[in-house]
Amino acid sequence: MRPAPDDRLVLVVEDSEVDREAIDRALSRSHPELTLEFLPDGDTVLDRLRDTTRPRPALMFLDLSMPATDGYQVLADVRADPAFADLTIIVLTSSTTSADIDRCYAAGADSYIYKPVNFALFRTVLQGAVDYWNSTEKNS
Amino acid sequence: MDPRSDSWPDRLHTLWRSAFGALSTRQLARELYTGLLSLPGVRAVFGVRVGADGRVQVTRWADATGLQSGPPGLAEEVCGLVSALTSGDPIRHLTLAEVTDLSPGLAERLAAAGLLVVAFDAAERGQGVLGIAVDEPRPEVTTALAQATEVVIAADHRIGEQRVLEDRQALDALLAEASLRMDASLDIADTLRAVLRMVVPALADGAAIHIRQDGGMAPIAAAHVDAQRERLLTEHLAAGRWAGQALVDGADRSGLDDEARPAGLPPEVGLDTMTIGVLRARGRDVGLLTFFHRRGSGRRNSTRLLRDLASRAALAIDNATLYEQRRHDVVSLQQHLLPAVLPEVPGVELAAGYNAADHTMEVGGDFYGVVDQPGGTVIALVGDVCGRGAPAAALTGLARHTLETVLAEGGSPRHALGTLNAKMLRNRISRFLTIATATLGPVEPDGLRLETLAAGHPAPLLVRREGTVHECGCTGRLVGVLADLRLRSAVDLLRPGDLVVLFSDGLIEARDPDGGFFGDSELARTLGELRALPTARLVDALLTGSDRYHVNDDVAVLAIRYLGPPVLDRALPSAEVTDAVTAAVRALNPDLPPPEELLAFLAEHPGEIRATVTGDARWARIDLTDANGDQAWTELVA
Repeated sequence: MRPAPDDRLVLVVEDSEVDREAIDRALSRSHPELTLEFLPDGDTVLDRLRDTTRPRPALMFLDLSMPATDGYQVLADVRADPAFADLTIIVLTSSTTSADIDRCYAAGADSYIYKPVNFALFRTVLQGAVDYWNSTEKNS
Repeated sequence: MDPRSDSWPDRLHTLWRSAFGALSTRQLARELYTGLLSLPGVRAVFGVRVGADGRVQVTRWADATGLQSGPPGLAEEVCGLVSALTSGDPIRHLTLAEVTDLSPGLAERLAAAGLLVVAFDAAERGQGVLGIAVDEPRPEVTTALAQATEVVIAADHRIGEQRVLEDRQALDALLAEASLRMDASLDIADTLRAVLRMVVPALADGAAIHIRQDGGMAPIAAAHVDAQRERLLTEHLAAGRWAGQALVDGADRSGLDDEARPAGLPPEVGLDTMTIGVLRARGRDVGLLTFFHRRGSGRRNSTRLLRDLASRAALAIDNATLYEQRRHDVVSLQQHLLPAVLPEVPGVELAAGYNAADHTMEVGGDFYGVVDQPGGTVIALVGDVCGRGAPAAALTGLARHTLETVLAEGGSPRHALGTLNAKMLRNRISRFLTIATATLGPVEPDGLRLETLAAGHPAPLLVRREGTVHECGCTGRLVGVLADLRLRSAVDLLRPGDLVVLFSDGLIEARDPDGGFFGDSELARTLGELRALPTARLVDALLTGSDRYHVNDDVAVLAIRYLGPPVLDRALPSAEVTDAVTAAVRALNPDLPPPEELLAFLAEHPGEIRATVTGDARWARIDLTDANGDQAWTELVA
């Protein structure tokens, strides 16, 4: 029996330690109620999501550019499994090109978020995305 | 917490220190909750934060088993208690029965006879609640709770101020990054799409930009936090199904204040309100920037940023529009300074090309021309006026007009250059120009006579049909400086297949990534290797720096191949070409090899083919061209 998603659990898939630290710092301030779980690469995302002994995240931040299994592949793999259809996937990337955005949307991303350099702006971006998905039932 | 000091006064002192260093209440929580839990008779401690919308945002619970953030069920259990408390009231002591009436679930969790509880205002119009489960309300515990509450309020206030400051920094950062993007690119539509990606979701749940195109406002980009709804937003904006459409149509400007207004979008888009900024540049509306928000998003009004961003976007659009207009004007003027077409000269293959400098938006002074004189002599010229812009363009026009008029009336290039030089000196024109000419003709028994002149200009290059390259030996002074040009011409004889290449100095000054000049040795080698190309292709290859040298200045190139009288020049069915060409080649010299490499071209192009064969007894050139302009060529050497 697969556990129901935990609304307060956020999975962050990000290979950059600096960015992981920034996301932790930003979200622990804007949303202290959230529990953040970090994966440093895309290779183990499916195993983690399929682990029925651990709470299921309701939301995942996904870095696009990662070595080995990149964000596009993770996106495709997760969306290929209907069991994770209710998982909100927010793509984090430094690209704003239309082609990258279209590709992510086609692969099933729920949000495409530009990753700014400035921390204050990054915090605001993350807060805006989490606030939105916390207040909105997916696909409503 | 310093393990050596676990008395409440010491813990309180540490708490105050932490309160002024904490970036979030989470960092304070462990010290706060374990400190209160250490007080005598305290069974449990809990805290609640309620947002401005009345929803419980954060709960924490500490008891003998440890501290938990958001323990399951607590948020629902405390609702009754929280609604019964008023911020600022003194600490209340509630019996277990009173707690049970308000929050029965919480009462079960307390495991104590009563509760000390207090409510206080929190940042961003929220409310905080701090409670201690006790069996009896000891005064020192009540005092400690009051003191702890003061710490939390102070920390919350400081953190709130810090966030306001960071929000301002975030806005400034967004504005700076967006401005940088807009300054760095002239692809305004693409840049504005990127700017929308920065705005959403940092400042808005959705955003759209319209810009003026073809007399009306058209949406060029839209963004929504929700990918699925982004598509809907784009569709509804394109169809005009939103409250800003009247503004887009230019009929209503009443929505242009700082207040958020109903967006008028269908509910499926999930965006309820909007603020619109008009992009104005030099008194003209050039577009609209709209921020959309969902109901209850709780975002601060970002009107200041909307206005700032709109003014910067307007400037970027205006700059891009002006740049495009000027670029069009420059290209148009440049085209008028060059001949639209070159004359067709029997027995000669001509092609010219021009590369405009990519670092400037001014008209360049390089030019070329070909004059076909009444007696059959052909004169080609390439010139270069010093400088750029309108004055250079004016002198270019004067030079071309003067030279071509004199030459068309039968004057020699030497006379034409002398006339131009005298005119420039007479009119005290402060600029100078350089020029090279190549005079072709008459045809002599051994070939075509070539006389070249170079007035302060790189001498033309002569590319022999065997592949050797040498500079014509002509010299002379700049035109427009001194009365005597000291022109010394060079005379050569062109055999069929020989090439003459005239060019301006931007070609030889093109550099490769290592800083080497095209003209040092590579130009001659390139010409030797590419000499068999049709002259139009050869010119293109030179203007692209042979794919290695960066030609970033104005450059004019003119290539002339002497072919000699054609032995064959006919349009034929593909099947008849081989025989006709073979016969023509044999007419030149029966020992010339058959042009077998052209058979593949004929097999792939079954329609009508224009076939030309030129040359002499030792060299022949065959050119085949189909109706679509596809070409094949070969050169045969005896």
